[in-house]
Amino acid sequence: MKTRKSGTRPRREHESRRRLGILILATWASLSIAWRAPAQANPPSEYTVKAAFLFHFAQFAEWPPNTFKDANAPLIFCTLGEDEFHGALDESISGKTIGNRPLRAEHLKLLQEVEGCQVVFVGVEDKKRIPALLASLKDAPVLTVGETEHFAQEGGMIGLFLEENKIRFEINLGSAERAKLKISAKLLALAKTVIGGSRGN
Amino acid sequence: MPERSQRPLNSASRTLFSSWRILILVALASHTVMGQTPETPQKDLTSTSIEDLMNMEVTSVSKKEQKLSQVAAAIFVIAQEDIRRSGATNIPDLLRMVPGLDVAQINGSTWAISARGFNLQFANKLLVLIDGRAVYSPLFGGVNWDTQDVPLEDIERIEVIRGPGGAVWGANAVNGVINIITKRSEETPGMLVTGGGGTQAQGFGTVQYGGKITGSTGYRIFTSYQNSNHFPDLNGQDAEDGWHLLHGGFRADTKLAQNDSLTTQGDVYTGSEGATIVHSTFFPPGNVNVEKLANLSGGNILGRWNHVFSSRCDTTLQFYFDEYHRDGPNATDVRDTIDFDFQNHLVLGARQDFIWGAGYRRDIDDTEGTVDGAFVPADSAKQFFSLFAQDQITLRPNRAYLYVGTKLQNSYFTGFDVQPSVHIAWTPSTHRTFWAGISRASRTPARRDVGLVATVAALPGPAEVVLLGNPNMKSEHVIAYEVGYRAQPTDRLSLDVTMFFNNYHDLESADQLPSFFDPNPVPPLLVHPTSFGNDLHGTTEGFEASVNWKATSRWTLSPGYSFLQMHLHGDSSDDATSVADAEGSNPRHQAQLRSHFELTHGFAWDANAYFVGRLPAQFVPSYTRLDTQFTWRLAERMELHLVGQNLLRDHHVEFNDQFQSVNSSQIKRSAYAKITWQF
Repeated sequence: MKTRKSGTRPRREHESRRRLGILILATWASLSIAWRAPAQANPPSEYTVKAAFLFHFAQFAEWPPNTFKDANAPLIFCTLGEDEFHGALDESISGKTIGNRPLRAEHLKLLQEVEGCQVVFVGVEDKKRIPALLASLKDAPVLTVGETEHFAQEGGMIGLFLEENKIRFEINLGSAERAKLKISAKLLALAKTVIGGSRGN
Repeated sequence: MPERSQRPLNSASRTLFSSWRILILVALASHTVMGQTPETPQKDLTSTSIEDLMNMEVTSVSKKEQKLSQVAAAIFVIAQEDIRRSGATNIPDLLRMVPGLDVAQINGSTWAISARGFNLQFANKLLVLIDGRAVYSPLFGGVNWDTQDVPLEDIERIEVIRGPGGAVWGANAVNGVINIITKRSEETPGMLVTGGGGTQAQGFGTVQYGGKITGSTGYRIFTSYQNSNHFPDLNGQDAEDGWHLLHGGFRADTKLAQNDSLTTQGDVYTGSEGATIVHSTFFPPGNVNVEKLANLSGGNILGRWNHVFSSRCDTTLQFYFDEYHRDGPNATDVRDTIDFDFQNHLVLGARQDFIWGAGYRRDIDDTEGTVDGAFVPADSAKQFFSLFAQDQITLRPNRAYLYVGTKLQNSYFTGFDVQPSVHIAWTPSTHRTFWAGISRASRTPARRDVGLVATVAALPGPAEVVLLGNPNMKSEHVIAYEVGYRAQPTDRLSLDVTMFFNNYHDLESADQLPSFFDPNPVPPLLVHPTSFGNDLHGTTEGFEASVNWKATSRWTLSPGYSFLQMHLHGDSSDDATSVADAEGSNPRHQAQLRSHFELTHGFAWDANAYFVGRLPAQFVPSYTRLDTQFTWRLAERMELHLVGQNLLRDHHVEFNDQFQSVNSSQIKRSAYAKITWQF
């Protein structure tokens, strides 16, 4: 609670300039290292990881036999509305197979088209259409994956969410069972929560 | 559902807080992660096992902004990722990254932090909460930053709202609210050991263990220590302003039942700090610098119970008790605070999201005067009641939201204050949001404003200049008008711009009273009294802009700029000094550039530069501060950091306010090394 004023000491301009020079050099050097690093178009973003999750979900799910036309029919991953993956899903699954089935990604605009999909992903952007989607699918054998809050509680099969920046998921086993989809015990064990279903535990 | 600490910051941010999970999403860092080694195939992770995928941290530029898109307030979120990249060892230095916040270090352990002007050692228009516990001290009106210690690794995020938050947070959230939110205990399992030391932060470290008591109760317990070196004073002599703090704490989160959760947490700390203060003597009359060693100790315990009735209704009850003792350097103060807080959240129909609450706080203090200053009365006990309500109305789903809210609260010395606000957010397309708001907020008088008796200077004669509290102090008020725009034009670029115009009434002034002769002391004194009043009025305007640009997959650049102009005037001509002091203690321009490089082989390099304009009233020239950090990820859960701070100059002054109670020091260039190990 005192009144006191005082100037600062003279600054050593030369020294700061020299140091600034060194810093600029260091910046330049680091920049060149960074540029020369292996070119990677995208860092491992949330959606690259989510695309890999979709792949694994399909591996751990079993569709009823009459879902596919024949033993080599493709397994189709669909996104609805805006493609949240920005191409990452296509890149992750293209050229791969699960069993004998080649994998394919399709990006749908209309709800009616989802009947031909085996996996459908609905992003946050399209959360308004989730109730309509689930209603229109009824119990069709389509693995529904979402990332909105309460997706699984509201009848979706697998809801992705983030916890401490890591991806977690919950499974609505009741929904999957009604659609005659079998979900492996391993996936159920990894789920944060499992809702409904006829599981013993 | 929302913890108290996550209560909407103003009516506008209701959506953001509507649920836990959304909160987690909001908390996401805006950059790519250090979680993987750069050699990981980046576009295709299908060959990675699902277990490994679950252990991978993910972040994206888009998520944070998406979730913020409906928020009608100038919010900036510091995520854990930003904390790791900052190289900061304390919370004030961490806050430097927030565009529009003015963070200035006064001495080794004292900071002046404010938003949108009115910065002081006890900046009284900024409310700060740690996990829902208010750390705004009503003695001077402001935050004792020296005892606000949280292990930085445990912070989930820090939300900084610039602009009024009075409609939800109540009094003193006039120009901003800072919410420090720690991680839930299940998010910090295992051992965490950090340790380091250097030239300024001489030694610091944290040891923490997180585990489970039962299947439904997770906990963590930690102890941390830090010891900071002295800075030089303005004349280059040792300012004797070293500072050390030993801190222990815990947090436990229990799932009582499907719909009930309980959080219990607490801290205890002890430490001391040095400071140089000016002491007035009358034999002979003069003002001398004296070194003071202040002891600091305190603790708190907090419980928060959340019950979910249904997806459309939930409620939170929170209680905390906080006690601290400080014997300086400004005043000797022992304070107990008991706080109860209730809130209820209801979804009404298809379009309304309603939240209301009530609070009670009892605040008891016991001060001890010195020759240089005292409080009248020395002890006080006050209680406060508050009520708030706010409604988020969906005008068009996903497109337009209206937020209305108000808080009603009694204050220390004046009657009830009403702090209403109306905000609107319009999202014409997914990646663009316009928002606007009008709010009224108030700052209640602190104990100092009402009851201070301080000798400011001894003069020959003998005579003295005294500063006196004014029992008739009223609350300060602001009506704030804000508009903002947030956009994410591409995956790699996001920007946020806010403009504000604030109209203040009844701001605090220092008014000169007629001098008088006091025959009582020996020798008798001529007294020149100055007393606080509510004589200042005026406006401030400015804008804040920040950009986050992922220039390449490995390089993120975050520039920011803020501009502030203050036009204050007093009721009488002797307010000219108060006006000049208030106007000239805030930088007009502030700019910053943060750069983050993800290098190969687990290396990362951060460089953060901050420009702060001059403070004409304090004769503090503008300065640029440069901090840099090299991080080396030695193993999955072990990191080594090498940090340099204030690299551009050997030392500089950041704040030198005339009325602060501690002398300013020069902030020195410094370096330290730190290791973080989790297992």
